[in-house]
Amino acid sequence: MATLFAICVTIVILGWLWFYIARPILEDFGVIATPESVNRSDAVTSSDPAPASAQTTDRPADRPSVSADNLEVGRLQLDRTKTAVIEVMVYNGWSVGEIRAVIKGDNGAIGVEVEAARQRLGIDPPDRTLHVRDEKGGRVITF
Amino acid sequence: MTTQTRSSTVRIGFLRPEQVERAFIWLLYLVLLVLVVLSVLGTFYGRRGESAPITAPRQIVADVLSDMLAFGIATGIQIVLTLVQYGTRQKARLDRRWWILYLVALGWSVYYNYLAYWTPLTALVAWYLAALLIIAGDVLPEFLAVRRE
Repeated sequence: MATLFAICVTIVILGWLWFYIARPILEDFGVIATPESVNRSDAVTSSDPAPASAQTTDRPADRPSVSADNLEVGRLQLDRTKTAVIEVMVYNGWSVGEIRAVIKGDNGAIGVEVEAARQRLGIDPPDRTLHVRDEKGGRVITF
Repeated sequence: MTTQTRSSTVRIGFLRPEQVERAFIWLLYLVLLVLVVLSVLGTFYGRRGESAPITAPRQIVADVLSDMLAFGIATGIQIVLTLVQYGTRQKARLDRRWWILYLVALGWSVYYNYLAYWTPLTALVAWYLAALLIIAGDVLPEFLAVRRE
């Protein structure tokens, strides 16, 4: 009975030490992934290869827009930054079109990110409008 | 003849939840105080390379009174180790390299407590539980003392 009690206490202490010391250290050193570090913007990261014309880095504008020191920045960190930037833009009232104009990436994926940011921030999406011009003349349909 | 109205809701219990919570917090602070004292005593006996007579409190008092200088040094060492331990954990939020210093401070404190408490604890409980109690006894005060949001 005493052994069983000792084992139970051992398990409790081990669990506490794991969550209080070992896990934070392992998370900070990247040994295990944190829930926050799970890529929330997988959709933004398109696995489709870029067209050959976009692969060139000959032109300055096509080179990575980070300094040489920052080239080691992980892809995950860049995606998290992109997610955060989109969230800030949504918070400040930018429309999807405006965000797409300044953020590089797949338009559909950015739309998904914007929608996710709206849900996180509790912002209702704006009414969608359709500009129609037919025999009755031009009009705007809201839906 | 008067008619007394009764509340429709019948309540049981006489302890308010907030009172119970407050009492529990005081209990935790008491545990914190005991663990801090045990850490200082562990450092005191660990530096002397002796086992702490945890079953003989009078012997502990006599040992401390007979060597107040060593007790003062042990208290100072424990204060420094505690500050380093608590501080580096906060700094590690910004720079993970602080974890190394945290582990050094923790390991140092655990080593003194190991020297002082290993023999008496293994006489009472299994060796694996004794090892964990020594480590947890060094970490738990920080867990109880530092406020978390």
